[in-house]
Amino acid sequence: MVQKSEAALVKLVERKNQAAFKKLLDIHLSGINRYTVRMIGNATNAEDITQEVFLRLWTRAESYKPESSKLSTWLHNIAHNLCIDYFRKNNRFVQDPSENYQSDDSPLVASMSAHTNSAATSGGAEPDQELAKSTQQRDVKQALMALPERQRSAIIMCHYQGISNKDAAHIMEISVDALESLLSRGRLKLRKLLTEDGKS
Amino acid sequence: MNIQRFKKLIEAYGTESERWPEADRHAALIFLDSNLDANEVIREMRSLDEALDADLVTQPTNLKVDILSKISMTPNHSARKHGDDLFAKLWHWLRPYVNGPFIIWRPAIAACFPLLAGIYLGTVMDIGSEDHLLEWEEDVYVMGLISENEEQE
Repeated sequence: MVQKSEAALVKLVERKNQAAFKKLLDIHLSGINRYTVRMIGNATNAEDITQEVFLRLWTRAESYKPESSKLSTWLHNIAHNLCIDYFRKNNRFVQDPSENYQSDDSPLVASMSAHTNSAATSGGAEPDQELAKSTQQRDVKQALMALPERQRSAIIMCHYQGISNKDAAHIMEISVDALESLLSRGRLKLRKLLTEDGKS
Repeated sequence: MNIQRFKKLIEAYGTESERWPEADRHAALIFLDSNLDANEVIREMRSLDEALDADLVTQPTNLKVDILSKISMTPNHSARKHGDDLFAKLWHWLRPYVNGPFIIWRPAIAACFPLLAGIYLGTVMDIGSEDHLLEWEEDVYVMGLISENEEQE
């Protein structure tokens, strides 16, 4: 039902109907922006990519085929490709998964363990909890950015964006098995980065 | 479903059942209800999901406005479909929609074009030259003589 109404809105966008475009923007903007921010790790560049995704919706709406994918999947596909292009242009495309790996005694893990200990000893005072929360957020962002782009993209799509495994595999042009492998390796690495022994 | 597949599932998709693939979800939930090892796997892995969920992204306030202002500056591609392609191209050449200073030389060249075209045509076709006028007068004179002779006959 949602897919049908979105397809109708896209048809209107093809005819340059701004009201239909605004409606689609309201539905998908925050989701796509969350994806690009987590992928790029830099709000300004992520915003540029998000803008480009929606400019493509405006200028190339006719290339969306509602019978083959949901609009959300189509937009994520564009966002994913733009992010990969961005990394290539900035020489940050990591092919070897071991390149960006941090060892267990990295500062990231040390800070994670320090804030966990401080929160435990402080008796749960509110400012300490806030500090611990913001530190944890920062650590998660850093850990995500330490992953190779494809592992990061797979985790963001499946964990944060609620995209199905089949759709995520389709976006990344890989099989579902390959996607599961990327997810497992990525999550294992995140556990190692965010906990002292990888067994939280 | 067995413990190996369940473990693989949790390692890939995490501990929240709504993130598990639809094809496996039902079997995995039944397995979880009846297997202690499966519960242990969930307990071990849960902290990563909690850490990931702590990461929030705030929405920039001006992003929607920026996108809407950009689309109003983009060329109307539907016009191309309706045969206005050439005009649209010319217009966007004259008034490019890219950010930056207005490019003055383009409209200036466009304004000079009729003048240059007139000079070129005048030179090539010899319009308005004295010889051309004389030839034209001779033609009229000859035609007049012919018609006079015809009347006399």
